[in-house]
Amino acid sequence: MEPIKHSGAGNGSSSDEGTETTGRYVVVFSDELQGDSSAQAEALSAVAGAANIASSLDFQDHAVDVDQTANSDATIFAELGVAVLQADSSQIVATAEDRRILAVEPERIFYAIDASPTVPLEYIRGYRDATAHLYDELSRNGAVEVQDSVAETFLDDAASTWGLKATKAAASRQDGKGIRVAVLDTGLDLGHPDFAGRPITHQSFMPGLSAQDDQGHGTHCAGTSCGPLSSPATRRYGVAHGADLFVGKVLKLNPLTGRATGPESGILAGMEWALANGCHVISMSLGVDIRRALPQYELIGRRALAAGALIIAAAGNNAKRSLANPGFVGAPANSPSIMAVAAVDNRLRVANFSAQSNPVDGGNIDIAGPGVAVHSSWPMATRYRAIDGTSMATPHVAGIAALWCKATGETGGALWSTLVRNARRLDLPTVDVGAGLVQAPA
Amino acid sequence: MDIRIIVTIADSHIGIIAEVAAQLRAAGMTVEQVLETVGVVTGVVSQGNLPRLSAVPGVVSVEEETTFQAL
Repeated sequence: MEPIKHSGAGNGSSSDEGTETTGRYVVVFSDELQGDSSAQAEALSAVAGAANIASSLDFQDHAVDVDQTANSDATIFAELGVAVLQADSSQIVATAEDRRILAVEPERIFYAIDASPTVPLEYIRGYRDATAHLYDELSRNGAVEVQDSVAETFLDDAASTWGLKATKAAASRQDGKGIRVAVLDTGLDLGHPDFAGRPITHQSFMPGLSAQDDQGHGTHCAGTSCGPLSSPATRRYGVAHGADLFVGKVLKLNPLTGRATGPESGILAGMEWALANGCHVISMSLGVDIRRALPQYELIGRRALAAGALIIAAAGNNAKRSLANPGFVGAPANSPSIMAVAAVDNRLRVANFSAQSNPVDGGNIDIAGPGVAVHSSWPMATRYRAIDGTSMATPHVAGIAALWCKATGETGGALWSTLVRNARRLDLPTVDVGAGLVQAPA
Repeated sequence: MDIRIIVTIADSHIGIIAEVAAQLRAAGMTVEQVLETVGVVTGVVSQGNLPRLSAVPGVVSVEEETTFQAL
């Protein structure tokens, strides 16, 4: 692609940044002038003495004829809120300082980017330097809040867990009151003092067992998603403290391993119950290390979304990133219509065990939550415990989904979108953390 | 040899899932649960009768039941 040649365009030169410029300037108007082309023209006239100002509005379909505008002092691109301006250096300083102007940059020459290695290194360097310059400019002027997520560390304190702080759930005014959250797991310690007086609907889907937690995992997850606003015995650890909790026992203790497992038929029965009872959010901190997406979960996920329920599942703990094993998202999280949650630690780094996106359709990580050293409730008499897992990240997302559901009225796919759009972008690959760290509404 | 299975029913047949379940029984399945909201029928079938189930109208998939673990 030939660079655009300008006649009488002043001093085109190579700047110190190593890019070629035309001698003209690209001006960005502030938002308050958007749509007001006469105000934009007035601004250019006032600060840069531009007299002969062309506008895209002058042309059919806004197709600026660059031959006609070549001798204009300025050309305004009305839809973009941007103009190209001919001005001398003193005029351009005044222009940059005017409050109607957001930014001024030299007009650069752009090049098609080939795969071939002949793109000059200086060009790439110049592009990098120009971006760094813009970053400095905007962050200095306070126009953009730049977050350095790598340096930030969150800690448990007397008030709340690190996870509630990092997700802004601790600061949220929302409580999820009236929103139905199902936790399908090992059950709940129904005698735990932190849940006393809380309306809880519970049901076991394991023959011969009640919903009373025989292992602990379920109590921990229920605590993270829906634990109380305060407890006399510990810091706050729960997100949606006003939600209606539905506890389904679909996993039980395997005495040989100490872990909790359950047959699929019980898990499906639990999902059936949650959907039939109008649960808005279904939290599933369970899975199986299968790469293939099982067809039943995609159909169920879709049916749930259509019914206004969002199923949120743990991505899997089968990674050992310290040994270069990124793991993979297993079922049911690997279904497209089920949200897959990764785990980060209190420095917002991906957890060593947190599974990476799986190439199957739907096997990508969607979002991340706090999943290392997560403090929450545990069956009495232990009462509280800190453990790790994508299982712990999942109820953070579920509880926060309940807060957003209450705040916005959104359910299903719209709620999924809201969670993703409001996630805190991390300086980490999407295969590890999806859209980023889930964030609660204000 | 008996296999524990999960039979997923198509959207088109969810409304008549009881009839699909009856046809699955006729094809040799021991139906344990008919879950009409998620659209799934669970139960047991012999290895020999397994291929007959996929032929029942409204059946999207027949999968062997999996064991899940807490994460």
